[in-house]
Amino acid sequence: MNGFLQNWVLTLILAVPCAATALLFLVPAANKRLARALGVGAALLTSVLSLWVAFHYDQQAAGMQFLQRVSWVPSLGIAYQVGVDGMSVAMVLLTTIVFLAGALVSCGIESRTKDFYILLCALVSGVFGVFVSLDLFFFYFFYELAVVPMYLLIGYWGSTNREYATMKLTLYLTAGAVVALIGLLMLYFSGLTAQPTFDLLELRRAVESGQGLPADRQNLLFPILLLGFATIAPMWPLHSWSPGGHAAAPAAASMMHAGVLMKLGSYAILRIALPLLPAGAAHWLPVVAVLCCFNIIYGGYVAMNQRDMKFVIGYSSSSHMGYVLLGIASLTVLGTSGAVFLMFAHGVMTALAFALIGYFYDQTHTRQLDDLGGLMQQVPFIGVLFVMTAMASLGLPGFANFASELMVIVGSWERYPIPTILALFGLVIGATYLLRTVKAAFLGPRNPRWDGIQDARTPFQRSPFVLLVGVLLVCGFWPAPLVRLIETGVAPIVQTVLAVQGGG
Amino acid sequence: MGAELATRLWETFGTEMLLGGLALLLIAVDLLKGRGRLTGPADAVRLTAFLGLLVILGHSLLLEPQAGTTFGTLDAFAIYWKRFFLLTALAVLGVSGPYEQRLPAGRGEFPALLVFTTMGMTLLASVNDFVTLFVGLEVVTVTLFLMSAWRSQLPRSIEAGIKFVVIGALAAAFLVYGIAWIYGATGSFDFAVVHDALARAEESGGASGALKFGLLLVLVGLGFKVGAVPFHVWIPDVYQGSPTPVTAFLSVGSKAAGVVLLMRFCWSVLGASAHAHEWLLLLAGLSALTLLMGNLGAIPQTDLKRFLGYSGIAHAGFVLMAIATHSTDSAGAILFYLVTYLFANIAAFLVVVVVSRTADNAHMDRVNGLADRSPFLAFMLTVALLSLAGVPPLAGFFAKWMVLRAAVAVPELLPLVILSGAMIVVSLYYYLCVIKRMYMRDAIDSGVLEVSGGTRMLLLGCALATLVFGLYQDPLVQAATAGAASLK
Repeated sequence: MNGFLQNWVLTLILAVPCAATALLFLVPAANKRLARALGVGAALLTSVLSLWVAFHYDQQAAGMQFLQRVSWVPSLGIAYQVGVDGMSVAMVLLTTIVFLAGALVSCGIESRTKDFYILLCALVSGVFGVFVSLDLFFFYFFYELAVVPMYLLIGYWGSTNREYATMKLTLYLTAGAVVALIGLLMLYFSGLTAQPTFDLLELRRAVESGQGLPADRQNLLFPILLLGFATIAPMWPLHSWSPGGHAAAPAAASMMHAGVLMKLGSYAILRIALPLLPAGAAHWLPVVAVLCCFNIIYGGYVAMNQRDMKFVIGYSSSSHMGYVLLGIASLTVLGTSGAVFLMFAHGVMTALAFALIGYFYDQTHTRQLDDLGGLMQQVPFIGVLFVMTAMASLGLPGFANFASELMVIVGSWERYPIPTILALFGLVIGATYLLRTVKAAFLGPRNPRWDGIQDARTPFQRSPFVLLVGVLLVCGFWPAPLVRLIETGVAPIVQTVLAVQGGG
Repeated sequence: MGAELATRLWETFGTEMLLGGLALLLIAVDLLKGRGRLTGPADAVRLTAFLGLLVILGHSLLLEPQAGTTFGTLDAFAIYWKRFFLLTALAVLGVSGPYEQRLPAGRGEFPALLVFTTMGMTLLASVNDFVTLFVGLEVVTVTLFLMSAWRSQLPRSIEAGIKFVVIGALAAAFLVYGIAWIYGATGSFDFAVVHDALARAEESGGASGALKFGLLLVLVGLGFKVGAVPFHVWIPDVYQGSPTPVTAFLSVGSKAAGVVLLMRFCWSVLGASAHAHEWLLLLAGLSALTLLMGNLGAIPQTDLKRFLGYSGIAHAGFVLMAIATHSTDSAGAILFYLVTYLFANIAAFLVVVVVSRTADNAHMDRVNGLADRSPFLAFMLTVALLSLAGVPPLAGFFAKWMVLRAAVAVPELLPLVILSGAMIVVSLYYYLCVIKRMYMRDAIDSGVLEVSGGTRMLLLGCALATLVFGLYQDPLVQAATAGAASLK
């Protein structure tokens, strides 16, 4: 069994949501229970498989593990190749957690339940695919696959200004993807390997053996890839699709979107742009370090002025992604691992925030801070968890976000002192808008308007929230295992870039 | 001697002979039925056409590359396209099924004409000579003139027919005039001879003005067929006015025929000269204009058939980019591309036929709320449109990807590649707008949409092919590459 799983586990992780998508088509539309069961079942199954991967990943050996390779279109140099390193394992875990929580939260959806789960599973297939692919073609294939289901999820089940927001989101992400594709194809033809190939491992070997591209070529290609991937990251000024998309999306879609989809961009930068174009990275990352300050500060100030809770969290997400980008730009094992850890922590935290907001929004039908207030009286469970989420988000020790942000800040201090100071200041801004949000929505006198709304009572209703907050706390108090895992993946990438920088 | 020639002709043009025979048979069946000499099901002609085309498709699967004759070749490229056109004809016959009761008369002749057109198209696949090119093209065009004006009681159908005739005649005039100049400059109609003359002239300091002028005119004539800007003006009106199955045939078969000729022209006649700066610039410019016009023009459309017309122009722009790239990779990409375009477009037009049944127009409102009225049709149209938009895991994604991959290899084309990338985003916008109508709008008409078993089968077949070729591309890639490799 173990031997079989060694080869097949990643394909299985990919196949489970795909199979769920296909099976859901056969479910009669009236049978909502079956559709939900299939969605949640697929999420549970992938959780088991991802945990197996996390526990069986050999940290001593590090590198890419659980490899599987099948030649796909040999004449075009395409192979189906999957494998994970420590960084991808963390991302796979994140996806599973958010998928499971999202599938559970969505059990309340009554309208076109089956279609909702079809799209959710299709979206998750794409995201998993990106995190495990080691072939540039399939990487791009899955990257694109994740975009269009989101369009329909927001467009049909969404709320505020959904049609505009979802179109904007889809077009932004596709534009970014197309730019990235052109960059990837240019990279493919740039003669890095004797025979053009999309095999990421082979390309990486070519770079590491010292046959990297000439520096001017790298300096040309890196910004193209960066532009493409940073759109989804989202780096200022390419971020404007994201808050509106968050706000319009139904709970589970916001969770997937902010929790996982946004991480595809920074993941792609780390997985492809940095190791394949180390000289270009060394040349351009200072620009990223400057731009990410705009993310942090500007995003934070905009968040402060929002009256819609989802917009607050939406802008805070783009603010937090600034820390991720800063960590990547820092080019230290500590800072970059911190960035990946923050991708994980922020993914879980923001998924929790959107799940909670979605939970009471279904009943209040408003997220305007001016209409809310005193909700702690009616929904204490949700309220307490939201306070915890806000604390996690503003970096209170004990939550994973604190540990990861600390790593980023310590890691980037040496290279970029001014952006780091700005980032520290960003924490203050974050505390301001989060505490204000908590106060406006949950604290204060009882508001009789909301007397009728229900708290999450049954264990089943509470399970997604407990799952997410549990992950945050466990990783906050005991970050070492996850951080070590991430470091095994990040260290070689950082070293590749540093080697070039040292040499040149 | 005679017998040997007959064998050779049969080996090279067997498909065309069979198609001609089938068309005559169909007319005979129709006549006999009309006079009451023959009893049988009401749509006996269509059924015969269907079976006949299936047999001929089967026959085409057995074809092996031949040396061919002086006026027609049978290389792997030709065989690939013959199969393509037969498949198209079968699919269009399927689209015409649910449309048939809307045809006032001549339901028997309609399949016969369709088969005649197909014969012209398969002949075009084999072209290696300007005379055959002209003859084949006229067979295709004249029969399509008739079919586009088939609903003679509708002014818009007549209008479509007349516009098509006028523009078609203009295109033919360009073509013939160009061929005359080429003949004048080289003394031959043979592609190979013209190619050699051109290559020799290029070596010794540039081809003569006469030859270039002739080639340019031929390019213009072919531009009309594929719908390249600025020769696209007929497309929206003719597409909108023609009976929907004919529109489907125009958009897939006729366009593909133009593409085949353009490929033969650029590879067999121009050959390496296509890389000369002026030709590259010309083709890339055509491609850029076509991409812009098709994609931007599609945005404001409110009629589904016009919309698909503009979308077809946009796809022609993509194909032209691959033609400008001019490599074996890009030729293979085109061969792949049009197959995915075939399945997506046929499915789209079939849905248009079904949803416009009661209103007799194809206004986009007809698909509003389709997801509630018929989830099946809505999903099929979604698959078709997303494949056209190039969204994975559908075949259209891989087709676009192949074209881009080939084009990026030519550094001069980078601006065009970037433009085409921008246009991919634009195209996603307008395809999503139609999908939005289906899933996020209320229906204007809550009448029941009947979907017959045949229609269902055809739609499922198209969707399945779109999905399979999107996920497991290798078999089609191999076939396309083999076809492209034989193109000389």
